[in-house]
Amino acid sequence: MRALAFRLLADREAMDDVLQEAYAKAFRALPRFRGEAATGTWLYRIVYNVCLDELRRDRRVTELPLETAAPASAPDPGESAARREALVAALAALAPDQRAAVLLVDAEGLDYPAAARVLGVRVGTLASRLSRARGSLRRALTAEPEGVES
Amino acid sequence: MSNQPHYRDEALGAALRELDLPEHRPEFERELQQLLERERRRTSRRPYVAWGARAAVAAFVAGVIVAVVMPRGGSGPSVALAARVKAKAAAALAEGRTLRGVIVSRFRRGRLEVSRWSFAMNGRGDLRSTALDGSGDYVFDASGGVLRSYSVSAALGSGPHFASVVTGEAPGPPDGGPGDAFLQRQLGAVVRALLAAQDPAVRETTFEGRKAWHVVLTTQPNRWYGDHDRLDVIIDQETGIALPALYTLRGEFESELRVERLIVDRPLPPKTFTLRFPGGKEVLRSDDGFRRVPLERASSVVGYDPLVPDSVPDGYHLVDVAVAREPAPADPINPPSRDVVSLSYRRGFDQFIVTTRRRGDGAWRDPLGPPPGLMAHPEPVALHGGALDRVAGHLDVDPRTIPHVWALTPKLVVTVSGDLSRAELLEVVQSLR
Repeated sequence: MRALAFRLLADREAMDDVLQEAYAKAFRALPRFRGEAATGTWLYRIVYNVCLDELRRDRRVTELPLETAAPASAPDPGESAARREALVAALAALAPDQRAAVLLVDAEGLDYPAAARVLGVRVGTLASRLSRARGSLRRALTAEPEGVES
Repeated sequence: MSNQPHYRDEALGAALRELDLPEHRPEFERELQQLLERERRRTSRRPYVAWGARAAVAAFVAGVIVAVVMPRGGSGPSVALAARVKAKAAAALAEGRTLRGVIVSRFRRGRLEVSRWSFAMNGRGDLRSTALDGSGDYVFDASGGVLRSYSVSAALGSGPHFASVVTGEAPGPPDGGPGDAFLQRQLGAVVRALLAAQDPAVRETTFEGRKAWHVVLTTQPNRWYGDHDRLDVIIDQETGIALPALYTLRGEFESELRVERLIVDRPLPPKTFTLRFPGGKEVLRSDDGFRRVPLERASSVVGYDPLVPDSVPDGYHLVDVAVAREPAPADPINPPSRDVVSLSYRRGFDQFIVTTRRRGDGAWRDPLGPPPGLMAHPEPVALHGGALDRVAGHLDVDPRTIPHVWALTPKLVVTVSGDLSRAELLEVVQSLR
């Protein structure tokens, strides 16, 4: 939950606020939860929806600056750090729905139907978003880091 | 490769997981607890509702079973009557073959809300639950580990119906499965609470002009939230039909449940556990990763020898051994599970489950504990004997959750949970070899 919220919002305070709101929403929705989906999937969906609300409210969708997409990290060996920064930048450049798709499936390990339920889309739509997101992120991972001679 | 329909990019996933992720701000947990407390006050509802509503339902079903099997006309001393209630309730669960009926739930969330659903279950663990407002229909095939559902979004409570087939379901908690979804697991848990009650008050009474039994259970309210502190079950003597069961807190109404049209140990209709989807409907298919295997094969799948109890309470027998290398995420609190072995033991409607999984490097919290921000009442226990000799265990027999004990060894996370008393939990966990 924390990873999904932070990668979507790129702000620790917003992440915490959104998670608190999501848990409160889950609390209110609990009587309706009858277990047709795993608890985790159910909570992911609530967290995702609250994140979208927050993004709409703050219009972060198109204004995500690179420097807030990740906190300052300890220095890494040059290439690894560059690749990480490139990945963060590429992730930040994705639309939230694509970002969520790749985070849920590739990073969090949800299967396609579960991720489709979280995002409220058909499996085919999810696959399409995944394909576009992966393409962008793979290009970032394989690109030559700036300032490194080949 | 990437064009395969359900392909997962493991390398990309690993790179994403390695990105920096901040911890919560220090005051996060305290703020969350305050927020949920305000929410509870606003709705006059309590924290364990999702998890606890099922317990409440189960409590009522347990009361109904008591009514059905209780000898008619008995009016002996209260203690003797309570003992008979306990014995009959336990026997009904341990020897039950089929059960079906309609559950009606009334509870306050600012205003009074009512939900109704039918249910059917058998001693093999097959379940069906159908919301009578049409919002959902769920069928679980226990022997195959398959859950089929046709329902609206649980998060939204409305909208279009999803058709879903989940294969590879775990036998039950803490790995999801129907036990996480329906009343079966809670059914026994509440009966255990009844059996554990030192002196439940039972007396003759009348209700709407009919002779009835009145059973009172008292509970310790949750530490952080009001919760209920008293459960009154009123049972019609003549027909065995359950009348309202009331949950109250300091004398104020919290919720009410009743079971209507209850039928016990009669053959179920042939297609009780069959669910067909409308033609042309997209079916969301997923696999939670569990496979049924013979016990002797489990170690070859997970790469270690699973812990198996040497001693189980009378009547229980091993019915399922399920293994999963990387099951679908079911627990949002703990690290992803790896190399899980889940052993399911049954005795009529009673069930308990022993699980082991690799501990890995992550920090583990109670796999059967309440959701984030809520507090349980675990009891630390020093385990003696078996594979967990001198390991610190955590025992929780609160009636609002599944009775369980869990422990961490240097390499494994171990849970024993289900329809067991405190003494039985300790018996099983300390006999693990």
